[in-house]
Amino acid sequence: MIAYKFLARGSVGPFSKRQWKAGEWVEAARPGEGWGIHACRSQDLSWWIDAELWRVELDGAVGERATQIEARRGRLLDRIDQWNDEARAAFGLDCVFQARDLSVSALRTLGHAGIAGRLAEATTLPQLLEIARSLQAPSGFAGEMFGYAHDAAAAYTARSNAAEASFIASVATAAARGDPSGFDEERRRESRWIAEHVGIEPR
Amino acid sequence: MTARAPAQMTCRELVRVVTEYFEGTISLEDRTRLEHHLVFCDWCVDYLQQMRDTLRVTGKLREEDVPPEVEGELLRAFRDWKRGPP
Amino acid sequence: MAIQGLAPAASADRPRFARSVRLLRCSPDRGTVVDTTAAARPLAEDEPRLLALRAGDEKAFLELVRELHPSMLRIASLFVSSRAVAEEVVQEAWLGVLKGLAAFEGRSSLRRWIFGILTNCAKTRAVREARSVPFSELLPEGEDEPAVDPSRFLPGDHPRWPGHWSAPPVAWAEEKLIQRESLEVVQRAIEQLPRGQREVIVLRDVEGWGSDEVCESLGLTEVNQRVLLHRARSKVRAALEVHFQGGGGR
Repeated sequence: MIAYKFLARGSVGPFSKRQWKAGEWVEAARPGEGWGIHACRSQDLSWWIDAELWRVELDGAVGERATQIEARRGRLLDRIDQWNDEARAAFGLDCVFQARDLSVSALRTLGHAGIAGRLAEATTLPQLLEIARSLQAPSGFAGEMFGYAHDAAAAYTARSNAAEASFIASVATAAARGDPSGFDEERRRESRWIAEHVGIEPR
Repeated sequence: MTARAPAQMTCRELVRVVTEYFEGTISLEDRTRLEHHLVFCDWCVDYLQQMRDTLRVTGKLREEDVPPEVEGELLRAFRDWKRGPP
Repeated sequence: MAIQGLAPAASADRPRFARSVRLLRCSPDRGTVVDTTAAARPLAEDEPRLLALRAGDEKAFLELVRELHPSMLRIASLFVSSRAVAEEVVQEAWLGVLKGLAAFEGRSSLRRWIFGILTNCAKTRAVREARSVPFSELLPEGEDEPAVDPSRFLPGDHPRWPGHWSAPPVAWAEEKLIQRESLEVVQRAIEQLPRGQREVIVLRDVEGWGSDEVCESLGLTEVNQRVLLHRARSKVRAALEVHFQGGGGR
């Protein structure tokens, strides 16, 4: 079965620290569920982003879980070059502005059209951060929704961590929906974004 | 009031379960939640690395040398034993 | 002992031992840790050494001493009141090893057998010193300080990020980690640990014993051992953090 796998820079497993080499079969380190070779379906991508994205082949029975799949054996096939530092940065920005859009929408609904309008003006990250800093956060739930836009802009400016921006947007979505399922909904949206951006067929 | 997915591990929880994670006794569910968290939280990645660094330094705390007089005494005991019971 | 990345340490092929706190007389025949699952022949890796020792090979004996004596001293020190007494205990243990060498059947590894004799000597001596630790003292106390000061996390009522770092950790530089001072900081931190935590961290992380061995030797359940280990490691990490950054710490 063909699937996808993110690896840290240098083709190293982010948790196992295993050194992967294209084409070489790797066996599970120990028996039992959870200790096999992990990979992503296309809807799982946003949960696991890292420096490198690879197409992988899994051998044998494939177990499916909520955000990953697993087999006893797997190998890297080829690297998906379209997922590079630029793509990752673009993804991060998309998540920041997703948080901004959620915030704007919620603030309008809650009667804070002025603040919403100001946030909506931003077209770049520095603009968004500057505008968010200049505004007085409203109280209550409106303040919480405003906070997600501010936090996303500030965090991404400070650390350029796309996964962090993804997390913030996902938490913001759950808050906006008033339901934890909003978190997964945003993750799936992000996974579709990644898949389309790098030329993977979304499932 | 937030409706954040309660399934998400916080930094505070991660710090509590780090030893279970290293020992391999953590549940698969919690391990997945922890891994999800590490994907985006560089601070917790640093914390885990600090725990690993701590283990590395602790593992080096070995005095290696046996004082010569101790070796001498033990060697004498060994020779006595070799000679066997009288 | 090294932790390989984040992959959990493979459970060593260690035989399961019955758990009990046994305060036996310091003698090899009653002190032997019995492994009922292993074969009655000595383990393959011990055979050449056993042969040499039984033949009176002094070089082999000195090698064994150099290999194990420092650890034996460190472990004995966990149980008794002073370094001097620990040295006596280790001497007694070596005599016990020699006494039992001819009859040693090899149902456990030589190393494990020797450490078994040692811990029994140490516990016996501790009892005689009226310093035996009530079993309850080895157990984790109900409430211990949390691994990290709670003020370093956002409070539970934070509207967006309860439980996330507010004063996050900062990665340590490799150059500082390999300095002699780091070893001293860790040494001091371990010495200041409550007894149960100190015993577990020394046996697990300094001596490299497996979790089964430590549980058996100290009479702990897996869970209790893990809790003690967690608290100990957390405190030592905090001590290193204070050393590297000054102030803050836990």
